[in-house]
Amino acid sequence: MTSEHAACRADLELVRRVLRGDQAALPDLSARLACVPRILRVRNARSGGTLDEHELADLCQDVLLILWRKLRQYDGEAVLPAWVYRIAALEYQNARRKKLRHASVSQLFGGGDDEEGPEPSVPLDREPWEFEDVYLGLARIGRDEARVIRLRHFDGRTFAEIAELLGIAESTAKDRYYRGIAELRPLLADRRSRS
Amino acid sequence: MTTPHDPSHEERVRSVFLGELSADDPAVAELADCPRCRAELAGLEAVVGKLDATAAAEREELRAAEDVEGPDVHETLRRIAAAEPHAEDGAPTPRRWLLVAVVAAVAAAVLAFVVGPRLVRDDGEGPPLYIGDGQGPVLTSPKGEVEAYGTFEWLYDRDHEYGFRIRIYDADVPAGALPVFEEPYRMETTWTPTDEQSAAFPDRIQWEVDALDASGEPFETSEPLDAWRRSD
Repeated sequence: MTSEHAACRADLELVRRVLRGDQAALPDLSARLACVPRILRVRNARSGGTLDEHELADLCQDVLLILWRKLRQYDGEAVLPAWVYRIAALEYQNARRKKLRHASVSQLFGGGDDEEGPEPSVPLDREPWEFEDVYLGLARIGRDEARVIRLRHFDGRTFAEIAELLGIAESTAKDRYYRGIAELRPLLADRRSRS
Repeated sequence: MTTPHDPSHEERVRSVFLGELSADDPAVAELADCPRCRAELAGLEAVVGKLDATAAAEREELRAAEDVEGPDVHETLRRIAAAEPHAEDGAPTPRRWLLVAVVAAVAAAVLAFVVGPRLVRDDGEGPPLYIGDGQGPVLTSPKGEVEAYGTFEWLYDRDHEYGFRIRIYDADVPAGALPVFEEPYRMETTWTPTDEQSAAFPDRIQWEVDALDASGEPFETSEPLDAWRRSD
């Protein structure tokens, strides 16, 4: 078993303890979710620092709440930080887009009732996050297909490993993968044409 | 040289894409001469390229996050866990958190001028904690007796980007039955079924809308709404 697989199993056991109501597991979960504010901070820095510290703190709380509510969906196929990243990054993008839209509307209408006018620090570019379409596309295709694609590309597993992990034949894993890629193709094209 | 497309190519495209055929296999050369198959393979490889790029960026950003300072999340998580405890069996306890949310909402109304409309304090210590309003999409039309179902419309005041899912049930079938129709993904707050779809709906329907979160899972769900076609 690789160290990454062992880490996945340890994370899954930790999540199960939390779901069983084991209070002693909470500090360990906090340690694993300490990546949330860091991911948001990196994402923010790479997106031009759109959100201020207060907004980042608010968003961090929102993301932690979402993760808490979705904890039962964690299946141990990726380490917790990777699972967290996908949710945190998309929620960051949502918050950023919301702020940009608000700033854009404020500028359009002369800054509203804000005497100081619109916030000059907010960049008004509408450059979409390059990888958002992939995450959203994976959420829209069949779950079994998306699962195989994630294992193959994000976790670097072979078809044989995927088959063993999911308890399916290797040919089934390949079928799901091929079907998933085919389903994903128009979705990515659609999003590109929308943006 | 150009080879005309043949239906037998479809399976070969799959085999080539999955790496099941070696480069010197004659079938590969034949596909390379078929413009349609070349385009198909290029399209599939483009998706793979995008997936690999996304995965690489994810790994790189996670590594970068390890070198960044971040605040301790334990106190926030502890407060969330106290507000929405997971049951012993791992199942959620919505009634308990709803009760907490209602109490917190009352407290928030009292403290609104102090801490702002989105903030809830549970003990007056630590950072404010937003625990969600629990309000799903509000369904507006069709409602009650209608000539035809027409366009389905709903309101949703959270600024959300991840779309909606519409589920339509046969209102005369007991609760718990599967929906008779499901529109899996929409970005807009309206949906107009095709005439064919609409004609297939039961005479009495109950419909619901899920607001989806970042991973396509329901984040909030509307209250169900009944509608029925006028019978003349």
